[in-house]
Amino acid sequence: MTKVRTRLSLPPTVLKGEVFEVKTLVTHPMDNGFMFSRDGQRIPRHIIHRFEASFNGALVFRADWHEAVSPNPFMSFHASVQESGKFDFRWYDDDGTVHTASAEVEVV
Amino acid sequence: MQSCIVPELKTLLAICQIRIHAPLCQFWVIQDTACVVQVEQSRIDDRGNSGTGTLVNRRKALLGLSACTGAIAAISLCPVPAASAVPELPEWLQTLVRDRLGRSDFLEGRVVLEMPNRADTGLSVPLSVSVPDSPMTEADFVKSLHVFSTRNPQPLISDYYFTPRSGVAKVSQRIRLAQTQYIYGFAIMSDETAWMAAKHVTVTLGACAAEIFLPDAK
Repeated sequence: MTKVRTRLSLPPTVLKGEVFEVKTLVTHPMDNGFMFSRDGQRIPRHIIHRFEASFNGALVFRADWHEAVSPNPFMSFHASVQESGKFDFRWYDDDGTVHTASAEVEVV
Repeated sequence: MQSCIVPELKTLLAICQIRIHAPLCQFWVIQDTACVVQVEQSRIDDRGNSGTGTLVNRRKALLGLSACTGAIAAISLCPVPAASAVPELPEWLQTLVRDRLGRSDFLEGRVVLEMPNRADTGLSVPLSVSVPDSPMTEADFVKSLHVFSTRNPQPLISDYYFTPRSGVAKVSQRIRLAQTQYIYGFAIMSDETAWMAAKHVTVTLGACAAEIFLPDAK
């Protein structure tokens, strides 16, 4: 399996209680199980089926993805925090692995 | 662009154009739903001469105008879906929604589905779902948003679950669409009310090569 890379975009510093956008992207083929390879073989389903974002251990946002999500899934959502801390992002792969990434956010 | 105009309407438009000498009247079909008729009145001078030199008397111009009005009326009577109305859910989708979300009492409104009217390729269509008027406090927030497709081989697209820490219930993603279809968005609030919205997306080229992605008649 090719290495999964993640990209995050969120402000390093925010105001207390300010609503800000968090953009995430993960490189993944998202094979939906409906495609055929060049030699006529059905490509088995292999997608990321769940995405979770938590801040200092508390869940902020969760998404269940299905076959319709495009390859290299991009996900943007919003959050607001009361204190500085760390965002943890988890992508649950069909093959059982969990891809993770994290980012610090400072309240000024 | 022409495909949306029903044959009778085409004839009407043709008659209209003949009557008032084509350059006087221009038609644009805007987003399949409305037809704007613009008459360049400035080109008719006081003596009834049009800019191109053709003699157009007052009666002819009036006839043309009335024909235009008729055309507009005919267009407004066309069974084109209004942008805001949520079309009736197909029965299989009603069952699916009831099985997955455990309820079927969805009211129209509050949910905002932002998608392009037309997508050149169904491989990656931007999707944005939000409930902009929710305060997202501990007392009143959006518990979840669910997006369903009507013409994909797999009708589920995504489920989003929020917390009061989400700040605003708005998500964006890129999704695959197999063909032109309605996309439905459902929201369940913390006060157990439920809302829905629909958006029609025209897909020029489906998400995959033709024979694999052509769904069964659903």
